[in-house]
This record gives sequence, C-alpha cells and structure tokens, in this order.
Amino acid sequence: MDWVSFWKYVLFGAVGVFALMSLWVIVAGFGDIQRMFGELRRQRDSHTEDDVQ
Amino acid sequence: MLAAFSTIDWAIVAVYIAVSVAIGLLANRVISGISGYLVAGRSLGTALSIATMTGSELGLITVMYQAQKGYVDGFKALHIGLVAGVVTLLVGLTGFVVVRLRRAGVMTIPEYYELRFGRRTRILGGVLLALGGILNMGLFLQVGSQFVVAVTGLDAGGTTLKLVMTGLLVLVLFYTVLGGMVSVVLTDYVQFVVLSVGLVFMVWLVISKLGMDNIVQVWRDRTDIEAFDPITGHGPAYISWQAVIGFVSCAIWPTAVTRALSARDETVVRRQYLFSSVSFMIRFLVPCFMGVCAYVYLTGAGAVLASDGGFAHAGVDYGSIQAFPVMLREILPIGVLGLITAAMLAAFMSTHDSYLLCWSSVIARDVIAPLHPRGQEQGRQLLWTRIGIVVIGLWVLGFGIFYTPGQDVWDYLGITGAIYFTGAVSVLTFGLYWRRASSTGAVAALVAGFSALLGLTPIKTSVGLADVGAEVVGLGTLGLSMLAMVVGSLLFPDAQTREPGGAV
Repeated sequence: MDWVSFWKYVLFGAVGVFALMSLWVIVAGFGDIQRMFGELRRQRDSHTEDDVQ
Repeated sequence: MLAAFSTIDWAIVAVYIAVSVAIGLLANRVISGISGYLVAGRSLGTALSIATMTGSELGLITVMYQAQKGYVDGFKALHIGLVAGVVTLLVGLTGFVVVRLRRAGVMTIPEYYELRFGRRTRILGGVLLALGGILNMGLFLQVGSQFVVAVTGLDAGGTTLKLVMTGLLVLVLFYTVLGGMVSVVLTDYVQFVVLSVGLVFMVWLVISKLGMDNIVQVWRDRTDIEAFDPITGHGPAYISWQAVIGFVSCAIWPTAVTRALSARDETVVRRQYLFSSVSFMIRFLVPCFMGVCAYVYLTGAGAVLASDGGFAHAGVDYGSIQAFPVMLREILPIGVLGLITAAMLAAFMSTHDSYLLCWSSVIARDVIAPLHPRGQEQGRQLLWTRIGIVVIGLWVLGFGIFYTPGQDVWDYLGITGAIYFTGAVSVLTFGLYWRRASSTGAVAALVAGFSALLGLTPIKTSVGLADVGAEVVGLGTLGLSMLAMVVGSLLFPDAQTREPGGAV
C-alpha cells in the first residue's frame, strides 16, 4: 500500500468513527449533564447543612 | 470573489455567544466549595468527560496551527494526528499515569508532587507549570485574531478586530470566573455538538468541491517537497518528538489530566481515554487535511505564493496560517459559514477557559497556598483562582498584541509546553512507578526540564543554536531531565521512602 492510499484510509476511517462516536457522546453527554447537576446540588445542600450545624 | 460574512452568519455567532453567557450564570448557581469549582465535584460521566476533553483540547489554536502544517507540508503532516491518536489509545488501554493519578485523589498535578516528594517540589513544579502554560497560551489570542480577520474580512489593521478579540476574552473571563469547571464543562459540551457536526460536514463539503483525486494530484505535482512520506519528509527525530507531544498532550498536560481527575472513577478514566483517542486523532487530522485542501484551492484560484509560505490573494497579502480560513470564507455558503465560525469561536473560547482555570488554580493552590499562613482556606483559594484568571487573561491580551513568533506556531507551542512537561514527564512517571524516586531527583528533573526554553527561536539564536531543530532541543531536554531524575534519586535518596501513591 502506498502513502496516498494509506492517508486516505486513515482520514476516512477516523472521520467515520468520529462521526459515530459524536452521536453517542451528544446523546449520552446530555444525560451526564443532568446527573452532574444532581450531584452538584446534592454536594451544595450537604455543605449548607454542615454550615448550619 | 469574496463571499461576505453575512448578517445571518453574524446572528449565528451572536446566539452562540449568548448561550455561553447563560451557561456561566447557570453554573454559578450550583457551585459550592473548591472541589465543585475546580473539578466539578468529580461528577463527570464517560460521555461528558469525552466531550469536555475534546472541547478543551480541540481549540481554535489547534485548528489553525494544524491547518498551517497541512498547508505547508502536505499529506505527510497527517502523521501528527495518527501518532497522537495511537498514543492516547495506548494510554487508555494501559491507564498509564492517568489511572494512578486519579487514584491518588489529587486535584492538580503539583498536589501529587507534594504527596510524593514534599512541599518544595510542589511549589517549584507549580511555578514551572504555570510559567510554561502561560507562555504556551500567549499566542492563542493572536492566532484567533488571524482567523477572525481572514474569515470575516475585518480590517486587520483597524481597531474593530482588537475590540472583537478583547470582547471575546472578557466573555470567557466572565463565565469562567463565575462558574469554574462546571462552566468549562458545559461550554465544552456545546462546543462538541457544534464542532463535531461542523468538522464532519466541512470535510464532506471541501472534498465534494475540490475532488479527492484532484487534491492528491496537486500535491503529487509538487517537486520541491516530499508531500506524502513522513519518514523521509520529516525524519525519525521529528516523528519521535510528535509521539512525545502526543503522550504529553493526553497524559501529562494539566488541562487534559484535569478531566481525568474530574472523572467519577478509574473506569471512567480508562473509557475516557479510549474514546478520546479518536478525538485526539481528529483534532489534528481534519484541520491538517483542511490545510492540504487550502493549498489546492488557493493555487487553483490563482493565489500567488511567497517564499515564506504566505500568499497574495484577491489583492491582499496573507500569512500561511490564514490559508484555511480564507478557503472557508470562499467555499462555504451563507449560514454554514456562520455555523463553522461559531464552532471555531467556541473552540477558541473553550480552550481559553480551560487554560485560564487550570493555570490560575495551580498558582492559587500550589504556589500561593503552601506559602501563605491561611492558604488552606477554601474561600481564599477560590478568590486567588478568580483573580489569577483575570490577571492571566490580561497578560494574554498584552502578549498577543506585542509578541511576534519567529517560528511555526506548532513548534512554539511544543517548546513552551516543554518547559513544563519535560520535567513533569520524569517526575510523574518515575514518581508513580519507581519507589526509589526521591525529592532531590524530582527537583533536579524539573530544573533540567526548564532548559527547553533554549528551543525558542530568539533564545536559540542568541546562544548560537539557530540551526538546531526544536525537536532536537525538546528530545535532548527530555533525556536530560530523565537522567537528572535517576542520578539525583540514586545519589540523594529520601530519608523516608514513599509509596508511588504518596504514602510514607
């Protein structure tokens, strides 16, 4: 395989995999954001309770 | 025939900027304590970790310098992306460095230095890290300006551009100061959405306009350079240097490592690196290929090439780094140009916010706090971090206006980064994996790494090393630093041997 074919395979293969991965990251990432906010609110509330005590 | 940057394009950019401000305000409402501010409460899941790692590491600066590499060197420059992707994949498979760091439970890299080697190593490491990092981001604003000038057609010499760039920087400072890592993560996610769609679409559009066979043929016709084979075109030293930079970018560079330290657990860290290996490859590969295409487009459009890599097109002189945005301006339809520009500005902003937060937190937690009698108070650390963000932002603005790099942007970034990372590679890898590594060895390694400063063109020239390549200086410094670590540790062992995790 010459360098031209090699770079074509690398480029198209990487872009294809990236496109598929991006779809998953966009969908699953949205769920992660909701969980992150839930966790941060929990941490904030526990800090507030500590402050009160 | 210059396609104007239309009102629709500006509107798309304005909407993106408004979303960023809203995110800063939203994030500020859920932040509590230093952990929430610096590592988002360690609550990131796998997908969000990948998005934020891609968002922060795929900056406009990355896009611009890789496009410049592709424009100047042709297809062979694609090896930089390939090497980076493979190295990140290996880190994901083995968990090398990052898993042990996450296990140590630290929030910054110098914090690990203290755990393993004591306070003086933490302070010295923090100073070098901040110095290398802040110098490294010195060109970000300048290169971002060059993109905006080329893509919008704004007057480079006028005050409009400076006002636009200052405005963007103020915006970044605003939401980063307010929301810390949570703001950074959220803007990174938005950027990931816009940028991933934009990159894939851009590749398709450019290939459909220029034709893949035509792109290859134009580069085949060049007889002045080797355009495809990186081994004969660049040489083994250069490729090895790219492998080192690829490893450092994902496993040593603090902005990337912070994502590993913010992850929920070690499993997330491994998955994060496995998947991010695709992003680390793409962030170099696609912009580099765009640079390759920009050369084909501009020569086909009658641009006159200069010997320094610059070109004259439609009566205007440009630098080689502007080839890619000039092509974008002329090839993309109205609306899509706005979308891609918003994606690039998103890239610009999300890299700035990550870097500002990272360097300022290191200065606050690892340099000032250990030296201040009340340095462990969270409120003080938060205040110092926020002040640091503003001060570094102002410095970046000044540096961007006054400094002109005497070398490729990529090489400048490699060398300024090396001031920190050549020492850090030694201290982290030996610290995490070699029980006999000592604090004297660590300090010697950090000091030896500082000699990478010799690779900067003005300094290299002044000491008579003008003909030595940046990659030779970088590799030499790395070797020197490792040697210093080993010799220093063997000659001056610590009285108490600490476990690689930090326990005595």
